[in-house]
Amino acid sequence: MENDVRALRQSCGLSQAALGEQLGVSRQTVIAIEGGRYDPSLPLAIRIARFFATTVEEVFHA
Amino acid sequence: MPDLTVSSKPPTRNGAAVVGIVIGVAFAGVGVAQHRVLDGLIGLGIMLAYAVLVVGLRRRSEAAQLLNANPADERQAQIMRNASAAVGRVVAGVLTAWWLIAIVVKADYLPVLTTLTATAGFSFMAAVVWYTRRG
Repeated sequence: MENDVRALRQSCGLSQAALGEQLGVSRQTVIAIEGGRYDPSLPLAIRIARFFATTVEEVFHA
Repeated sequence: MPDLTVSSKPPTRNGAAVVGIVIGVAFAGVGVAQHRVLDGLIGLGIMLAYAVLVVGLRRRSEAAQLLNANPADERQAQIMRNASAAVGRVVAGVLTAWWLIAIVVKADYLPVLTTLTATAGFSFMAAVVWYTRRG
């Protein structure tokens, strides 16, 4: 599944480690999500969307 | 086995390395007690090397970090679950093949292998029933 996490993170000027800390996940997990190698669970996807003040559908799309 | 659940507590630091060193020391102790000092020292050396490797590489390698501590998030927990399932499949396959060979050659240790293979089979079925009921 494709996503806009990298673009959203970069627009906020955050590093992958900083975003991981905010979301309660490791830097490697942020890297895996951004690269499309890992699809987060629904709770984590909601946390990501809420963090960027948007919706899950806006962040993640097929 | 590692704890595969993700908790809010920070991941256990160096847990596997400490357990590895304890096992290595125990192995060396048994070797000395049984007058097989070289075997014991080799076992201790292997476990010390494992501990040094996972502790030394834990900041550079996520794999080393997971081999040394409990998972810190859902993705790492999934990695550990997949790894545990892979181990289960390999061990079950090896046990079944070895059990069939033991039947053919009428090995003395056949009851042990039968018990282990049956335990693997029944515990797999019990786990499937358990997890289908839990949803």
